[in-house]
Amino acid sequence: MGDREIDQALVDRAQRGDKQAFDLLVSKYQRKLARLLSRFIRDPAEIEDVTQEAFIKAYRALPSFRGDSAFYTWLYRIGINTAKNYLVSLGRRAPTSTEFNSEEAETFEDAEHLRDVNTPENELMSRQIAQTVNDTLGSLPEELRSAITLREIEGLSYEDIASIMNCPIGTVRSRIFRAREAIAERLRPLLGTSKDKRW
Amino acid sequence: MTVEISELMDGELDAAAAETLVARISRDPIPREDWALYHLIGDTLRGAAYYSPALAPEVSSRIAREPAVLAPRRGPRVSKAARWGLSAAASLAAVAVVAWMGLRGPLEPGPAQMATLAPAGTPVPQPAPAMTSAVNDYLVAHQEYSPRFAMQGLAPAVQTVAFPAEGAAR
Repeated sequence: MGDREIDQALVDRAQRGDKQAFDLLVSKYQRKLARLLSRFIRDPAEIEDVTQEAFIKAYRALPSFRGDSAFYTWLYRIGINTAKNYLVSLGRRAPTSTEFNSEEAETFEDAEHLRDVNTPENELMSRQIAQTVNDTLGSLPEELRSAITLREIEGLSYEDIASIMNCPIGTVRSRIFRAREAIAERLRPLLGTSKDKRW
Repeated sequence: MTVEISELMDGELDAAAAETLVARISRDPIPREDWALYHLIGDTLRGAAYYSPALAPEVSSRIAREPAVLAPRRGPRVSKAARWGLSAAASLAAVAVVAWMGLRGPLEPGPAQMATLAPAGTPVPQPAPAMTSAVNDYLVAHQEYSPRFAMQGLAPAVQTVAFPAEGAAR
């Protein structure tokens, strides 16, 4: 089941009244949507507010989502419209449709531009997270580092990674999981979600 | 379960396993936390240096106050090819029914109907007249008291007229 189908499964559940399913979509897309909106809105606190508003609008509009497009394409359209309306309400210039379209949104990667997207109080934590992830990645055995890099950054399938690394698909699955867990173990204390503290 | 969440995120679980896992994740806060953490790791590796601990909980809290959305369930998606196939099958079925009816010839009465047919020449009893002429006269005389004329304002505008049947005795 691909990414689009997973999103659709979550949307289906949310459309049947499962609000937690929508929470999973929020935790998945919150950073991408906030980064997208930061192209129009400079103030980090405003970015956070508009991102929240876009998610709420998306939730309310869920009954009209029929799956003709991918969920994130639909969400990004709502996000852009929410940002436009917000800017218009403040008397600022809203982006035109030629400045941004949903196709661009799908491939949008612009980390350099987004250095000041975090609020001052979140900036330090954001840097610590990035530092922890990078440090842990650097300390991983080569085969784990390669596997998660090929998957998360290059976006390759397990089959392609298995072919590149010359190993069975089951090994790729295990390496990617072990790499994720190694990084997660270092992040949990930082985020206050240590497995020891779980209920 | 974390191995399965990792696989799910990578789109490597089959549909049935993915559906089951999605249901479990949405019900259970612990795998939800892992789901969120793994996505944070992925986004950070891709350079999305954005962290807002309040955003997702705030959205979740606002959604909790919203009425649950209940969209009508969509039927299974039918591809264009399948849709064309179904239309063709329906057309063929219609043609087959028409052709079959044409080849069968005109419809004949079945055995049950034939058993009830009277032999030729047998006099067929006719139903007795429902009303005699005396009853007719009575009804004509009292027609204006009939309940169907009880509507206010209608009775004065209606005049009852009776015609004797042609050839009837006066």
